[in-house]
Amino acid sequence: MRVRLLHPERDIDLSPRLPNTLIFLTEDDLELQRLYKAMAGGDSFLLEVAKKVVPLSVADPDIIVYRQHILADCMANRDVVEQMYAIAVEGDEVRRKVYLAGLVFREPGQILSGSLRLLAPLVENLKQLRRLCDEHAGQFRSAGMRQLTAMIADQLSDDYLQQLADHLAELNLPRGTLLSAALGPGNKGRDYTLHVPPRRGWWDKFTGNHTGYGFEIDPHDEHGSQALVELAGKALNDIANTVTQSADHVRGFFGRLRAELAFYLGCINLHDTLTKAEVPTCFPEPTPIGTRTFTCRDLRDVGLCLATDKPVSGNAIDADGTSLIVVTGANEGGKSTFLRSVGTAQLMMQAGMFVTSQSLRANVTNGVFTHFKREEDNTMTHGKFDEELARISAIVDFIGPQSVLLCNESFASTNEREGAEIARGIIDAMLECGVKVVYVTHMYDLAHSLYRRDNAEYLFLRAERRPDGVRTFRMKPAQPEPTSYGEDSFRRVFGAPAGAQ
Amino acid sequence: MAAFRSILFTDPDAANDIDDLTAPDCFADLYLDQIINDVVQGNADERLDRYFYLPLHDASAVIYRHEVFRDLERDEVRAPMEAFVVGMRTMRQRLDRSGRLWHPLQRQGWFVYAVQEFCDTVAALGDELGRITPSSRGLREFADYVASYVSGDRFRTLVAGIGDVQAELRKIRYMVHIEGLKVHVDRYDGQPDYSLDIAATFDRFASETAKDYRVRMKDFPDMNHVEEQILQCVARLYPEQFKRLDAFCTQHRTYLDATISRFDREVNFYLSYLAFVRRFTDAGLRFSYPSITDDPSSIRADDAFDLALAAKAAKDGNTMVCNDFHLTGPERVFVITGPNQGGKTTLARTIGQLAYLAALGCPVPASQATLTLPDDIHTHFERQETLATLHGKLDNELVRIHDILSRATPATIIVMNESFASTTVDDSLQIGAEVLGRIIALGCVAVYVTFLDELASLHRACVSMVGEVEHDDPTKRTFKFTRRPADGLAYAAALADKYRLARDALVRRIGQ
Repeated sequence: MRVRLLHPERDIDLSPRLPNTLIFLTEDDLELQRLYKAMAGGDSFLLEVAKKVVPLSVADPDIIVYRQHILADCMANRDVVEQMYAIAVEGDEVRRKVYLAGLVFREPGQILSGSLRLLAPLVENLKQLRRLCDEHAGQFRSAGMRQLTAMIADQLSDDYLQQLADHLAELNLPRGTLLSAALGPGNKGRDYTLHVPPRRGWWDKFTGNHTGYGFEIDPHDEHGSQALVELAGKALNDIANTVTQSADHVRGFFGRLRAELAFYLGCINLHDTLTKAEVPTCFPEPTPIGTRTFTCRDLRDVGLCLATDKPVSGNAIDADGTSLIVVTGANEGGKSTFLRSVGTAQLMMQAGMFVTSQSLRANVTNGVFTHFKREEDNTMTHGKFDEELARISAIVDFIGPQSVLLCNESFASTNEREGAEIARGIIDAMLECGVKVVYVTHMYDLAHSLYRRDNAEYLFLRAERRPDGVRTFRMKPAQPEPTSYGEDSFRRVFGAPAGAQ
Repeated sequence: MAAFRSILFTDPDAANDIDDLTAPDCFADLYLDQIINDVVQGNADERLDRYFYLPLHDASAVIYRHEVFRDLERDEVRAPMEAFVVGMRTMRQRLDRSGRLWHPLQRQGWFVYAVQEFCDTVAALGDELGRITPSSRGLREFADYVASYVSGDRFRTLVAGIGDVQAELRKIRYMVHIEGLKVHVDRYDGQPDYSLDIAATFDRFASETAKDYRVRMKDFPDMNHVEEQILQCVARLYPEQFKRLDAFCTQHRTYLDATISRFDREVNFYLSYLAFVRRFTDAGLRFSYPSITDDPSSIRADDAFDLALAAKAAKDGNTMVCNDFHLTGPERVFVITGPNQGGKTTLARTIGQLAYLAALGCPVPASQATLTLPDDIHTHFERQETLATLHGKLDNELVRIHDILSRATPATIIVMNESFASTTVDDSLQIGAEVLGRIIALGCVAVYVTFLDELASLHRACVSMVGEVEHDDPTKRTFKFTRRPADGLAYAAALADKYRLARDALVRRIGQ
């Protein structure tokens, strides 16, 4: 039994593919915590799932669309999905209901009875799930939800559920343990096999009508009764294993169902919040890997949208065919926010989610990597510039072709010439390897030298500043300027132009 | 032809009191105890080492063993012998179990199981021996013996009997119904396997990565009283089969053939020693079958090494240094000198080991060797002082050497290591010269390790062996020994070189 709501053919591995340090860096740089919290809506399980699933970028546009359709379906049938989730939670937490503590699992018989006690409520949950699907399967439109409901109808037919119940009853061994064995070395028994004891009528019992020989263990003979348990265990071992693995599987199924539904419920929570804040959302259009597509209208940074009640301005970018985007321009002009909006939208798209934009069309990538200027180095092992180099080196260990690298004021912690030189080398290497780079910088030397290359695959954006110094927080295609209008900041802080004194 | 009795001894009675033997006195000093321990380690026969306590004094007995060794070095001869030994070990384990168990039906079960292994093993050995052609007298005669044993009535009856009994027991399958404390045993009547049903039903809940919950069942060969009672019920359900089992056990109580059993024990001497040797030949060291001589002046060995040290070196991944030694003309005493930690004691031990191993009829650790068969090997190594003797250390040493000299004959080998060092140099020299004089007068072969260069040129019976050092770094020992006068000069010269204190260098430095 498979859930397959995240991938049509297999259970994707939810463990992180990158080292934790890199994941934390990206999470921090893109301020994803805000996104995860909005998805969780106060539920810690939903938070964990969001944290796991969102960074596991899917690189296949078909699977992204597969998830988008499921998400749309879940939004349309929210009640049913929430009921399904409730059943999954119950199944997943079956161990809380069944008190197994104190049972020592050393004998196959004990293992068997422990698993039977778990399976009883699990089978009830399976029946509930089946009933729910019977009632509502017709409402679902997406391939994923239809596949799931069809699987449940197929795998959990009435006949099968009855058969299961019968076996569970028989496995409680109501008529004792019947086994057969052959003689092994030293005439000791071997090849133990379990059989179903016959149901004898009252007449047989009354007359004791059977052949063979027997004996009875003295009730005070503890060793004797222990020996009986061991003997039965030899015949029960395989079955106990099968039943326990099955209990694991059913519980695992509910656990998986719970986790995968939790992702979609998280998306719904996020959608609620954004809708309330009147932030536009849309399902983006993913294009295949390597197609160098990025076109958006009114793309907003979801983190900022969640952080503030004020209206957030969006950007329209036409960057199809672009391999490098260099963003320059005024301080406090929204460069970092723009960079984050690009990274977050990419991640959300590749998780199969909607994005905060009127429209977005972008190629999928092999992963989003971030290299942001960091305030302090608290490891004390590196100087600031050293730390930057060590960090890019750690990224280089894992970045592959067709990824995207977002740089925010990278290598600015040394003098501009040296920083630019290093940055150019890294940019060139990345581009050569097919990594898309978005680079926010105030290093005029770097931006200008790249601009002079006059490469059609390079796009230069500038944070808009009206002549009166007011920022629109919009990125416009423009060549780099030798100033970042730091004077504006100076004036804002000091209330007077620099050098006015 | 059927006279074959022992693969180790030409005189089969030579080993009559083998189990009472203890290690010869020289064992610890020559590290032979470590070597033999290594050789017999892991062998099921706890007393295999006893065969290594019995050196031979007859060249023909040594050659008898050399022939067998050479045969067993061939894989096609050794493999069936190893299989035979493994089979016999299994048989003995089962027999042992049968003897230790209490319940008669179980004893019989294990007995039959042991006999089964014996029959299979001996039959396989008979087949293999028919296929190979041993060149040694020992193995040829054994092959003849096995051939006649296998085709004999006694063995054939045994094989036929075991087949019948086993086949009948194997056919038995019985049911046990446990209900509460009641146990009921009956014949099995084709009831279906319930676990197949369960597996089929739960199949859709199976996953490839499932954890294995099967309990590892303790499987004692012994039975508890419940199993015994069940077995008794089974015996009542199948009386014919168990009656035949009983008859078989009574009839074949003494099935084990004494000669084959003795061969099984003795052939381990060869197999374990060869397995030990292979550890070193794989590492590039060479072994050889020594020529046996009566003439001490033709004693020689090339590329000899200390086997105990080699075993340690192999473990630590170090390479071994090999040494040559020989006697000519009147020479009888190796006087070994050289730097501390330079391998003097190792060389002395090597010579002693070679002599002893040659007398066991074993290949020796040298690429080529000619050796005598000593009537005894005495060692005189430093001992810890003990209060019990009430003597000082020097006195003790003197008492011991006196004892050795009074027992030694011209055919004895004496190995002395740093003897009489616990006194002044003059005393030491005087006593050493005195003792050496007696040894020389006796005419036996001796090894004398000393720091006294003077002893090396004491007499023309002495041959001086000097431990060498690295030419450009005298702090490094080469562990190589050469026959040359003990003058200690090479070491001094090398040291001088290293610190640019050699004569020419000093002249130049001073002249600057």
